[in-house]
Amino acid sequence: MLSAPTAKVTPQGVHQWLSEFGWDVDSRRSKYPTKYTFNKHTKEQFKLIVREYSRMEEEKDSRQFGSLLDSLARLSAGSRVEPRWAEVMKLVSNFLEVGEYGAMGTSAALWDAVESPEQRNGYLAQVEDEVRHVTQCGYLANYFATQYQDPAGFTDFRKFRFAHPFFGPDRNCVLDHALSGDPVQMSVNLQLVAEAAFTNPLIVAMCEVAAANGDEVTPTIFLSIESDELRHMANGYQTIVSVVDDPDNMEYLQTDIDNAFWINHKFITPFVGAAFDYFARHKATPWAQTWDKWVYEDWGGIWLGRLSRFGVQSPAPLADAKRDAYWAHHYAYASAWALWPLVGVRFELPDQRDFDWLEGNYPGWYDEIGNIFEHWREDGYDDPANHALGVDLFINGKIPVYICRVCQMPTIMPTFYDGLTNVRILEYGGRKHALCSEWCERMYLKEPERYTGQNFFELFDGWEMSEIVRASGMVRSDGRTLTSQPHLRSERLWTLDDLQQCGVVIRDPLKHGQFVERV
Amino acid sequence: MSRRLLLNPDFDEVVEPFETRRTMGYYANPYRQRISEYEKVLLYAQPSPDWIPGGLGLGGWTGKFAGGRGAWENYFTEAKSSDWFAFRDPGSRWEQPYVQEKAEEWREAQRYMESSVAERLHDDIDPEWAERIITRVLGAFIHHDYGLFMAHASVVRDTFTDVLRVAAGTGALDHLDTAQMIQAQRMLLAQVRDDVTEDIAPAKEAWLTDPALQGARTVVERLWTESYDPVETLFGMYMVYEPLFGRFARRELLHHHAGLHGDHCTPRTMWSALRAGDAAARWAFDLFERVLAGDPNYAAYNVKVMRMWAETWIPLTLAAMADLVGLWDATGRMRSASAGPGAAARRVAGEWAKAYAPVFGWEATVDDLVAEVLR
Repeated sequence: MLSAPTAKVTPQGVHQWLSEFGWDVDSRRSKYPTKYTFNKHTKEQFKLIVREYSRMEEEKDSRQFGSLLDSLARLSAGSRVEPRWAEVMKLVSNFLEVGEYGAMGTSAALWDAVESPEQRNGYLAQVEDEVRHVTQCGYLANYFATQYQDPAGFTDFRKFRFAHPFFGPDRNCVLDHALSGDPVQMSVNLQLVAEAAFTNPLIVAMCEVAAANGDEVTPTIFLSIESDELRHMANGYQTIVSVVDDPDNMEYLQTDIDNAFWINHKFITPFVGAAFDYFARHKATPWAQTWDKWVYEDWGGIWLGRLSRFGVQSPAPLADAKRDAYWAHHYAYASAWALWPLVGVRFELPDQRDFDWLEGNYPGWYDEIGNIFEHWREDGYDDPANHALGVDLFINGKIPVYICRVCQMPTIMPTFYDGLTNVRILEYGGRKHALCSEWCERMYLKEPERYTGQNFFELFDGWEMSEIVRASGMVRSDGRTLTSQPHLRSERLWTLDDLQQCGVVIRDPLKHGQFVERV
Repeated sequence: MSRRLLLNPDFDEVVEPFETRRTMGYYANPYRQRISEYEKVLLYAQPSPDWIPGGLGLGGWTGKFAGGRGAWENYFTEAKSSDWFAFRDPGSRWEQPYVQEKAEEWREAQRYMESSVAERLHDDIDPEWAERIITRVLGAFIHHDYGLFMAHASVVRDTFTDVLRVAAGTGALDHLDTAQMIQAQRMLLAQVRDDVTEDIAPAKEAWLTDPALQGARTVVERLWTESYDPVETLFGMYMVYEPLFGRFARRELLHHHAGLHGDHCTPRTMWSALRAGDAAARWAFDLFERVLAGDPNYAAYNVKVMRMWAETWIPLTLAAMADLVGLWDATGRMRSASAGPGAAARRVAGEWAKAYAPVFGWEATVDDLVAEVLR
């Protein structure tokens, strides 16, 4: 037997010393002020040093890129996807990327703010995870762009998204609120709510729907992303652990959880629901059930249940959110279709097969919203020859829709009717502000200076829709055919001229009473 | 649930593409001849409005800090750019190549640690070096690099572009990695030698009290806690402190003198720190020389700002180097066989004066710099 001396250094062994790496610096204050006090001895759950972390991520990358660049490339997997589903991946890949990008900043602010070296280590790993996820979303879009029949949208979303009516609520929810504010609020927004409550349905459940629609590319990337999310959920949990010892902290924590849940829910619930129940040709579990399972029971019950011993409760708006989860995505899809030229994808009206499935799973669906889709289909709203857009519904019916100053969502949730009856409008600082609900109102009334940005209707007040499309570059390489289309056919494609002839102008409803008008 | 199978030939219709252009990024300026994978996956992920130069969006931030500060504001830094997205890391180190490099380093380090002990490479380390330098001074660099790692946090939060944010993230990881690998080395040697301890206490004591390290601690603490401008922090760290003090300490003191004391381990730990420093220097030059000092509108202004920053960071850095000079007397072998701090300082100052000082028009001769270090 070899008698040479041996010695062993393990990553966990090095990690054990991490809590000794820091020292007290008199001048140190977090650059992101917090009302909370942190416990400087809080541990992290994933005890990795930089190189061991890298080894694990390299292995994940190697499996993912190996699949994408070898087997899936040889199968031309990106070209075998149901077009209806592939189109929504233009939206999902970009809107998710915004959240991953914001999360880089969130994790960095937390790394600066907390006192425990172990926690800092966990947040640093999350920063690099988020870099990974941003590039994975970019890679997904690029992969489809090189294989799928319609690369437009996969190629340019980062440029034209600013003219997208739902980019505002996306960025507001997953970026602005995630990296601006008290660092604990940021953590609650990102890690305790977005990642622990919503990434399961968004990323895990979406893989099932994707695969059912011939999309093997998305699960390959998304499941690799989700494997990192476990660390982020653990980081969020440890953030809470680091503040619950101090009774003063508990004065704020529940309110921050309530607010963060509501902001995230307002955008993510209808967005993901529309992707599942409308963009999927082959549908899986109805969204309302998926939402109940992951958000209401798994997160609101089990995950927050683990925190109940610290005095944390399920968020107060959870019951309202559950009502939204049944109807809001139907109205969100209808609203998006009404403004389809600005959405950046090709998407069609539900057909009879969808009608049957939707009515079967959401009894009352036809009377609520199905009849509107039918009206649009029967009157040929997807045909450029008719020079009409779905927003005619709102123009003719004089239905105002506002954008909430806090969550940035249009007041369409859970239904057009309820959205309008819930809205409240107030004046402050020389401007009018619409607020969608008591939950957003209470956030606004406490800190109005946090919600001063312009919304979509204010930004484009007076713009005719083809001008917005032209200015944002939401056109194909011929310079005239629209990137967005209200159907999936290859003929009768809409052009800038067709859109211009519709004569639809965006308006600020707080000034003009309407958000669109015909000129 | 109906399910569409990937290999079902019914779905393999040949569809005429709707669009011939399959390359993303026609709105982005490629750094080289054509847009690279690094640019495709990262560039313009940052959703800035157009009032932050280079941004493609419009409007303002809709969820802000208490008091109304937005997610990113032009006033976060005194530097000005006509296009913040012009910056690139010439090494194109996005996540995939970066973790690959670090994972390679880890495998190599593990092999080294296993076999170097079996080959008894630790036997001939001079005891004075082991006790004074490895246990205490090298150990103090755990805190040094940990502090610099912490200084990156607000940079990663506050910079204006995706590509720069990711580059700064690699800088953070590299510094924390160096701190961790120094401790890994101490833990290894502590198992085979009685004069090295893995305990961090003597290292922390040296970091907090050894006069040779107090100048460095001052700079690290200021970069970490008192520099609120992310571009200034990067400037102070990567254009001044690391190429002067970093090289003086890591390369000239620790790497070069280890061999003199029979220490084959420290050079390996320092090697990856030197590699990290070189990789960071490449992107720091892109930011400060090509983008900011070469800006079509703000070049002169930026050079003036950099000189103003340099007024803070150069004297502090030279003072830190002057303190470190005391360590050239730390062992008998250094007193008898080292070329001395003067030669090391001249080498480092010469490299800096030739490459870095001209970027912001800093007028100091090598003799001036060396005199400050040896005062």
